[in-house]
Amino acid sequence: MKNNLQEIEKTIKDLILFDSAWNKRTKTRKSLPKATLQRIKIYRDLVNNSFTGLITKIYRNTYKLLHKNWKTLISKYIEAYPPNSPILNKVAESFPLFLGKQKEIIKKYPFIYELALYEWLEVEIYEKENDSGSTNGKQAGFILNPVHKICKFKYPISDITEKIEAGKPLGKISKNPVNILIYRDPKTLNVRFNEISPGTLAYLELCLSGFSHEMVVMILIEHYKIKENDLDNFNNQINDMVKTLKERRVLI
Amino acid sequence: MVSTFLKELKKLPNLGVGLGLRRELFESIVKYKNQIDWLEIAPENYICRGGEIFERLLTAKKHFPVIPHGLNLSIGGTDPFDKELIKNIQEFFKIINPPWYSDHLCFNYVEKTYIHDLIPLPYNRDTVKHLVNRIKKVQDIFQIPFLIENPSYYMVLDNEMKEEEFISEIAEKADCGLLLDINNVYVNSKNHKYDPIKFLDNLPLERTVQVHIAGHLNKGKIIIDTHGESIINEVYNLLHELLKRCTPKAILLERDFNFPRFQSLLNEIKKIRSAMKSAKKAA
Repeated sequence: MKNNLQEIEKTIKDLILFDSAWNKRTKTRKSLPKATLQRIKIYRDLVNNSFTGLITKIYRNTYKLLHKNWKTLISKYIEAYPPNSPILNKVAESFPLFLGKQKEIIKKYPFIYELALYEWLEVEIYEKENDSGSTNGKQAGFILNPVHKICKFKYPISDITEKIEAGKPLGKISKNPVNILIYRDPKTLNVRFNEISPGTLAYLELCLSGFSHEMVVMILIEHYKIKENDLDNFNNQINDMVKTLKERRVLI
Repeated sequence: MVSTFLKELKKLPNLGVGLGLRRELFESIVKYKNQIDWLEIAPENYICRGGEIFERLLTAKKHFPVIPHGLNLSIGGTDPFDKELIKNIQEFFKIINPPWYSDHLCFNYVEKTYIHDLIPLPYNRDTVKHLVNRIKKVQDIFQIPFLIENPSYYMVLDNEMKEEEFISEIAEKADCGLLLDINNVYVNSKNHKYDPIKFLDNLPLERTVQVHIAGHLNKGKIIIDTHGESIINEVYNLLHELLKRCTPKAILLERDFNFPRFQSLLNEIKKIRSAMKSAKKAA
């Protein structure tokens, strides 16, 4: 009987989740009675509505660009990345990856993967498990906020997002790499996005590698070939940067 | 054979009338905490989460007994249980220390894919056997009383048994409790044309630990259990009938979206309390 139930469950799962199975529903060898298929449609609609609502809510700016084929796109996505987590939000997790493989969309919006990833990271960082035991950056005299992610985007993703949100035309978007630090403010628990300079990125990455603040400064002086008469100025810049990162609760 | 579950049942706390913990309701829940006895949460909405979601859980726990009600255990599934989910739920239980746990008589995890809805099972003796084994496993894993909920269902598979017969056999053979969703009884009785009172009378109601009550959406040809509307009088009447027949430990008002003013929910909680009182008198 287990095999029989297994077969029923598999058939129903495919019919509910996947368009390909649904479109072939009357052609399957052991096709279900018409009445049952009609009733499966109710579940298909409930599940599709739930997934579409979820994905639209998370990828609100991506949706604004791709809304014309949105439902078809979501159906294809679910087929390519079937939900494998009991956590509902995770149904949406691989959507950026999926979009990154859609050649027609990329032709029109080459930044689409990054835009979707930018939107997903807000959810990921908001929900991320607390990590109270983190000692990242301890050698440098601080703890780097454990709930963070540093992303190197090829496109000016914050500008793109701002334009879409404001309903402004995007115009021609060219590559213009940006580093974005996304983190959860430990005080408000809100997610913050900060564009950071290559210098700040290098500083944070070196601190995370276990170097002390002084060592990091020395490495950076060497790397940027800072002349002796500019040293004070450079040190002041570093101190200001650390102060700002502390004020923003990136460094704790 | 003496039922271990019925012995355990006597020791379970009487919780009163609770509300489902939803983010949208959270501030009001805390504000009006004196009018709500307990909270229900879906572990799947809290496991592996930090930040504001975890804080909400801790605040809830500070003010209320918190009862877990699962969504995705897939108790009727033929896939092995999702080990990671089980582990995460166990971790989660360490935080909330619940007196019992429940999930739906359905399947929703097939070939490592989650359907994220409650899909009904064929009501036959083979399925009963399968479910009894699975429920016993769940009881062994969590070591707290486990309750099965009657879900609403919109399709009928290869059924050889009546729904109430199916539920009763499972509950008795697995020696577990019932979470009776009275709105689902109403919805199913309308959609599948049966007498809800007869349905109740054929269940082992002495196993009822918890009750769910909610609103639904009447779409004419079919009624959908949405948890997004107010409770209708016929469902309150059915609750009254149920409470004349048994004394559950906890009743939950389910409201998951389309949220009204909070006062409306508090009024529904009051109506549930009145139903409890009047049923007690009538009994």
